[in-house]
Amino acid sequence: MRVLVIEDEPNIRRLLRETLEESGYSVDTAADGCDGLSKATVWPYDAVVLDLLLPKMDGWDVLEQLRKTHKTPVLILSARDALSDRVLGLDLGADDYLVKPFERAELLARLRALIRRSAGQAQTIIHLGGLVIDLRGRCVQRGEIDLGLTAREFALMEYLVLHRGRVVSRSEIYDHLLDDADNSLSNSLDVHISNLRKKLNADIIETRRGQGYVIPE
Amino acid sequence: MSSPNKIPSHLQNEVVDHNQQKEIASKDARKRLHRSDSEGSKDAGESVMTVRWIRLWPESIRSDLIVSQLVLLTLIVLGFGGAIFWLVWQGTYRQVEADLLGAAELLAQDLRTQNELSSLTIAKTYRHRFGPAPRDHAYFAVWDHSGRQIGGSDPLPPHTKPHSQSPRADGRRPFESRTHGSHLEVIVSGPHGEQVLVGRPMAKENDGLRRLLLFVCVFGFFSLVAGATGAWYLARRIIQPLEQMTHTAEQISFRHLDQRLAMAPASNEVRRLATVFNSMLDRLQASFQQQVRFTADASHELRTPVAVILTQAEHSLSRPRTSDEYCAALQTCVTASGRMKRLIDDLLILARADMGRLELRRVPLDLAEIVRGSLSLLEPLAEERKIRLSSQLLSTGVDGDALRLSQVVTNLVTNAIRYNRPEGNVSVSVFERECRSWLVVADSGIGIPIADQQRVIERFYRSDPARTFDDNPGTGLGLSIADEIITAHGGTMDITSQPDHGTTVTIQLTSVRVPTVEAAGSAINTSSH
Repeated sequence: MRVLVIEDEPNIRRLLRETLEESGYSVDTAADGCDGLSKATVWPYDAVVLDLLLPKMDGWDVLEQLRKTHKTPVLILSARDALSDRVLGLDLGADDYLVKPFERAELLARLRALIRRSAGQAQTIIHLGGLVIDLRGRCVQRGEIDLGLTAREFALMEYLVLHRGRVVSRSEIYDHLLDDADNSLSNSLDVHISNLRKKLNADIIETRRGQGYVIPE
Repeated sequence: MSSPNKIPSHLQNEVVDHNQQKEIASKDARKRLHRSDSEGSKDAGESVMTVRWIRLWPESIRSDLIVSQLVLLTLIVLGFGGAIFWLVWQGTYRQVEADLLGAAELLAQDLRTQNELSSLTIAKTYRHRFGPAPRDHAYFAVWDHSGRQIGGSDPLPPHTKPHSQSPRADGRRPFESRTHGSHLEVIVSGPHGEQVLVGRPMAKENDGLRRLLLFVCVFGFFSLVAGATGAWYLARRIIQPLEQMTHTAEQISFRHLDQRLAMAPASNEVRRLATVFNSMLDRLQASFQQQVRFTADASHELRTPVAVILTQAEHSLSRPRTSDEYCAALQTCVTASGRMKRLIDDLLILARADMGRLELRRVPLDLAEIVRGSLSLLEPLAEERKIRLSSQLLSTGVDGDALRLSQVVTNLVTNAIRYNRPEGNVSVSVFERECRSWLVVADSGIGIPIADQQRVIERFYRSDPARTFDDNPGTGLGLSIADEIITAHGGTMDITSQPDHGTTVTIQLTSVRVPTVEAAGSAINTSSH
């Protein structure tokens, strides 16, 4: 899952990046509204974490401009807690609003829910042909046995499961699982898929030659 | 509640007051002067009570207007009616009296010329004047000097008696007149000491007067009714705009401060009241909005460092880290806490200033010394930013709080350094002119946009919306605090700025003589580069 963090306070920006990366997200950051908007319109992010008081262009403007063309889920993360700010943010098209200071667990849960909902899923635990995919615990189990997926493998699995029934192209996987500073996946997507198939020990990931991969419903 | 008898503290005060009063009351009259306050208030209370007792109608402008209008109108109607009735009554009486006198004089003349008393009678002209009805008929009687009746009409009313002494024959009123019931009688002297009486019942005149009285009463009643209606209508016209204002004002709460009183066609006074009220609401709304904005800004500014600390701590605790990572995390927390501390300190100063409790410890001191001390602490910052910091400090005495004044200097010079261009200049000068001590801080920095120059002293105002998060960000309160401190010192602070050319802050304080300063007074020129 690829997330964009638009935040001007350098410490919070760094901490959000570290927190989200440790939770298995690919994270891009932007320090001002203009940079944030251009990144958000260029890349197909799974979610955007948006501060409101930003240099150059404030968060409301970013949201308004973004919503003209994109449906990317947006979570506003702001120190402004007035009712009018929250209402305005949600009315402009934000999907959630979290007030700073925030709890790490809540931010992660809200972000998970946001991504899940935008992919049309309601549950955090998905049962699929004898496999149990726990989006919250970020693990895949068969019965009681953990299959020991790496973070990268789980991210791949998660993306395919959330969009199951639809063919996901290789470039879409690159877009959603890579961040700006990352180019390690491009050469080894086949390796990751092959490892994943071995660990799952079931042929639930199908290859559509020339199109991409799909997990059938 | 440390008191043994467990009386709540506010009641205790009352008990003490009561005891004090008793104690004082027992002392001599000289000491009673001290009680004048409490007695005065008691008297005032009693007079309020009496006013309440006298007042029979509800305390409102409407009833006051109606009642006063009615009282006034009643007095006028009574006065006019009474005067008219009295004048008419007097006129009628004099007329009847004059007629009777005329008839009596004729009779007296007849007495002189005629010897035959039995043929005496009231002259025909007067008989006609008195009226044809039997009840209006006049009667007469003639008594000789010994009081024996020697003539008269028949029948005579039983009360008709001669006067005790013969009426005077000259003077302004050469006759006697008297009333008995509705009868009016006039007695004149005859030629030989006789008394000639002519009288009549004033029947038709009394009828007329009764009609007049009735008319006056009916007229008075109707004018009172008309007056009351008019007063009620007038009172309504006066009260209605006031009641509308009251109604609107009642609906204005702090959530709906944008409501205003409508300028309905009303009297000048009411319109003026509405205007004053509305402008008061404008000011109230402005200051309320300012307060709301300030609170929102303050909470925003405080939340950000808390968010850094909380996020950093949770992040570090989420899994085991290396000791370098822990150190970096703690450093982040320390920086954020420091920022929070500065913010809280600044907010505290502003809160104290708002309550008028800045608690300045003012002593005569040399402003140049204060500035010199502050500048020496700021030189590293200037050097780091490659800013040329120059100063020209001439001794001048002010009566001020050294700590607060150096805070002002630090805030101003820090701003001048921070919002400057690389290789820029900051010049600080202190001098005395026209019994005022001047402090001028001028920079060659980015200046303040003209549109924002009015707002630059506002709390949390930053002319650059893209706040730069450098190593030591300002709180956005520096100028507000400087302004509050200078105001508390009775001085003034002016800011002039030219965008892209720089900003100059000028502070004026009242000069005082500092004895030690005069001896050592000298001009010092320093430059950090």
